[in-house]
Amino acid sequence: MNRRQFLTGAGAAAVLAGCRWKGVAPKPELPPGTLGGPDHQHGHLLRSGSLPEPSRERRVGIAIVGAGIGGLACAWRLQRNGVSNFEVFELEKEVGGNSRAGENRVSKHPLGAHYLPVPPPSLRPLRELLAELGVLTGDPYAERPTYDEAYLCAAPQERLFAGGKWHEGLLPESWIPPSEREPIARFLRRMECFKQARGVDGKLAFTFPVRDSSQDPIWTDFDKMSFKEWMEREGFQSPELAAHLNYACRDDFGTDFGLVSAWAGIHYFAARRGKAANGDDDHYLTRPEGNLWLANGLAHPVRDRISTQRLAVRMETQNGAPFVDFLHVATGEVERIHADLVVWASPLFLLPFVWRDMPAPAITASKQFTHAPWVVANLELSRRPLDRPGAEMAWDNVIRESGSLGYVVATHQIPRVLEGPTTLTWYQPLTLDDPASERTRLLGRTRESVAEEVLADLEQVHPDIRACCTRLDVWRWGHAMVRPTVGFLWHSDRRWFEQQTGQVLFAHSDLSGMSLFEEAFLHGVRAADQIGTQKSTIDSPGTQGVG
Amino acid sequence: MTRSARGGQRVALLVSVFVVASCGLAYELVAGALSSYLLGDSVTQFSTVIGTYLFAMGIGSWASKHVESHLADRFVGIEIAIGILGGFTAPFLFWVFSQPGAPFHICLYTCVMLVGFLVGLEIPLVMRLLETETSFKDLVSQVLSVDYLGSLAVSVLFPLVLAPRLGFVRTGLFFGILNACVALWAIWIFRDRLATPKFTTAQAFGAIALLVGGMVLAGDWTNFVEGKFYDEEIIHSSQSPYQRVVVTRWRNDVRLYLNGNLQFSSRDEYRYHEALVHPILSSHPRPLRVLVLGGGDGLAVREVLKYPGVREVTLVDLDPTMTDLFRHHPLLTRLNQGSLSDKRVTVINGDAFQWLEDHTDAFDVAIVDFPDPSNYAVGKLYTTTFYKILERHLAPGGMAVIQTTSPLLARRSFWTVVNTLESVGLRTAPYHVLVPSFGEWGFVIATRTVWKAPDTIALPTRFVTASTIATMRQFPPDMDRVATEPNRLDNQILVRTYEKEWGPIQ
Ligand SMILES: Cc1cc2nc3c(=O)[nH]c(=O)nc-3n(C[C@H](O)[C@H](O)[C@H](O)COP(=O)(O)OP(=O)(O)OC[C@H]3O[C@@H](n4cnc5c(N)ncnc54)[C@H](O)[C@@H]3O)c2cc1C
Repeated sequence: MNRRQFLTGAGAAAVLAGCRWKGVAPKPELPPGTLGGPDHQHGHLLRSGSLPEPSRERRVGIAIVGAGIGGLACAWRLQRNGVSNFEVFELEKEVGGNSRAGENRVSKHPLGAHYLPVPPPSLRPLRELLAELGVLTGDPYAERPTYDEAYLCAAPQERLFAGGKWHEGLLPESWIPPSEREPIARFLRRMECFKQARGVDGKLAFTFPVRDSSQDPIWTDFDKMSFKEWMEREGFQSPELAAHLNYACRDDFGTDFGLVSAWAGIHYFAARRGKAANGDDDHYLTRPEGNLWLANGLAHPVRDRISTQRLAVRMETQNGAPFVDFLHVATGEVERIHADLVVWASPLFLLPFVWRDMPAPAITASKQFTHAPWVVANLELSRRPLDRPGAEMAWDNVIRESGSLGYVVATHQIPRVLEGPTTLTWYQPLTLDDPASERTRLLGRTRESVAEEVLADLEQVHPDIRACCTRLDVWRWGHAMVRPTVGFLWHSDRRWFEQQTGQVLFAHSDLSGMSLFEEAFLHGVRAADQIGTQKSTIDSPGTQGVG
Repeated sequence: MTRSARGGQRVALLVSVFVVASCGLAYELVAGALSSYLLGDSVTQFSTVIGTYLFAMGIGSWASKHVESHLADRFVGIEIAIGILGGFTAPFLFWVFSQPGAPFHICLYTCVMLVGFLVGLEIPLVMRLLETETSFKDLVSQVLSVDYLGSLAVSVLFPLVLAPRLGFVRTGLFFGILNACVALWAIWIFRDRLATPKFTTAQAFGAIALLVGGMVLAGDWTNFVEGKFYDEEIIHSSQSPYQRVVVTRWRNDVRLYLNGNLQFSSRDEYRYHEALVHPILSSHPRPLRVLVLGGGDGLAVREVLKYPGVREVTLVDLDPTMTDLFRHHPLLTRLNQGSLSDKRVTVINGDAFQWLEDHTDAFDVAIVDFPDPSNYAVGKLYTTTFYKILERHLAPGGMAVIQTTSPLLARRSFWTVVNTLESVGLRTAPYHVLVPSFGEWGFVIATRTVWKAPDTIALPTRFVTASTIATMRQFPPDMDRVATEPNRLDNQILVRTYEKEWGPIQ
């Protein structure tokens, strides 16, 4: 009776439905692909300490080290603030850092960061960026601005594979046993309360940036226990909720919820307050290339001031004006950049090898930062793979019983009725062992062994994945993201870096203890604005501005 | 015979009772499930089938007293007969159902009576075969308890495993084979009591062969089952990469089904296609270029081509199987008057979304005839994003019409489409029409400025006239406008609403 209903999307599946899924076929050859990752060879060079002396030197007003989101946001903001004597130095060939993307024959795809929740009006600079990029239209400071629908993640957004079936959503009603609905509902209500909560200082308990959150111990004390302990203590008895919270912590922090600080865990659920006129609350923006569009949007107005393939190898800050030595990794030459101000927008773990006169408190503080290693794989598929029954393929596809986080579909935002070739981006934080051992193991692995693991994982849900996978590129992130472990956020020396006001400023997501776009971006903006207030220094004579 | 040999024989017979009992219940369940599947109203079907079956069993048990000699021969014969009869009941009934005018009810109850009668005979005969070895008290308790155990086993397996995995036809045949195997076993056990052991053995093997053959062919049987779905003669049936395309004919009514859903019936499609095409085309002062999205059957194009001023028609349909079929099949080209082969028509097989994005052509009239938004893939074609792109393809003064499901059965879905069009700044003129084979059907015209209905339809039409258009635009209270959110790519609320509204009806 239902007129013209047909399963376009499941076109191939309809044909294949009749055929039986191939069981264990003889192991076919792996699809071709590459093994990539951030340039860690040069990082090792740094540790070895055997570096050439500079052959040239130059002066710039402000030297920004690193063109990830933090460094680019700083440059973008300086430009907007009317400051022009800055230069950005980046180790890799491309800008973007963790927000970089790759491309195969089918589509662009993320290598790391891949979504940004719509920001609340309080994040004014971020709203301004989105308006500048045309993704946000109308009043950028409105409570509910209108977003370009090509960026708002299309439906269906999420699905979970559990009990042999796909379910819509990550806490799906069709899967959660009735006995667990009450604790889950109670948990979600509690998170809503935390969203409203404020401390005695009048500040929101959990917000972006992390440093604007309330310092009232009633809230910061959540940092003293793990998210898992907190959940158990509060009596949220639900294995499905536990699995979901663990998933959330591994997804955002690359760390199990037994190690993540409860403050960070709650922040994940209670700090987002963005709204859209044409989207649900807390909706998010995504593109096939992940967050690279944001990095490129920041870089575009300052593109002439970015030098790539420059590795900061040496920095000295005392004795008057600071300088940084950069190794041109293509030529092997070292250039000394004298600057009035240095903005360190690179990860903190390299700092002790670079900063020759690193102050003692900085040394102490930097030792408290730990980073989770991740592996990301991009699978180019010649067609949609066979799928297990249940909900249709979503943007984010999570497998309940898996050490991976599942995958996101790079072509999801391209509106097509015909769902042909696609790219799946598979994510896995390495959390079985401590980060250092996991990292060593990861750097010893071949593409083939990772590819085999990825395919075996995905075979659970797409039995013919090997037959349609035409390319599989592996990306290893040794120091993917900083870990907000118990006590790190509010009971360590973490904040030393963000509190600096001298000639070296810091702008990297590491500083927040949480590796998130907003944090990286807002550190960049903060550093730029701080420079604005110290402008007199910069405008002093003797500065040979580049611009 | 030694004592232990007799004991072995008894166990063997009890095992047979278990199998026989399972088979008996299986036939009953197959008949009940099949009749409620075909006729609906499962409570009535199940209770009448089971009642008839039990009654027939009663007659069988009563009749067993007339079997006086050759007990073993009779028992084997009955097993073979039940195997064949019970096994083939389901395919037979499916076939009967697909024959127009065939007396389905008579056949159904005859089969149920026959199988019930034979099953009723079985147990008393088994008891009498065992009688010589066991005291009556033990006998009754053993036979009946095994009988009930067998029933329990099947009643649990049937809904959980058999019906979903094997289907009705194969389940019936499978139990038929079991019955025939019991016959073989009985032949072996009673080999020294049978009159013509060789002939009986051959019969049993013959029955097994027939039933196994049936199992193998059961796949092709689905074509017959399809005959049931479509009630009518199937004149085309194919599987394209996107959908199952079936065309049927019954007398002079030709119907198209995609994935089992009726797309049109030639008896009343003129109402649908006239209502889709004429209001908009007659209202346009000079429609030169027309775009048709979906509608690979060429019926909308047929109506468009009636306007002599139309110079170019571009039809974009996903499925080449559809457009080829409607370009070449004589019966179908008669229906669409060869519209897809007309010189003015360009047929493009592709994704409408992508095609609109990749091209810049502007049209005076766009006719959007997509399938209903029953899944996320098709749902994209009803979103704000899609309508914004569509709007870019309208020439100055251009307009679009969109088929919009039933405003009566899916009222919220219908108005969601209207609200979605309005949310992207278009003016709308919704209307509806009764198409008997679908019910009350809805359409929306979308324009940049207020739409003005045509004063006359200058062509001969069977249904649409200027005055029918006026009535089509009236919405009585049960279809009246409801406020909804617009349907966007990020929420796809239409797919959910549609599912809620049509779900219970299908
Ligand atoms: C797999 C993965 C998935 C993620 N997903 C998300 C997500 O979906 N959403 C989200 O908000 N966040 C996500 N993140 C977090 C992501 O880290 C942040 O969003 C953001 O990109 C961090 O930017 P950053 O500037 O702080 O750091 P980085 O990206 O680390 O930038 C630092 C830059 O400095 C350069 N550099 C390093 N050393 C030197 C040197 N010695 N000299 C010169 N240059 C140097 C690096 O090459 C790099 O370009 C993800 C991270 C990973 C690894």
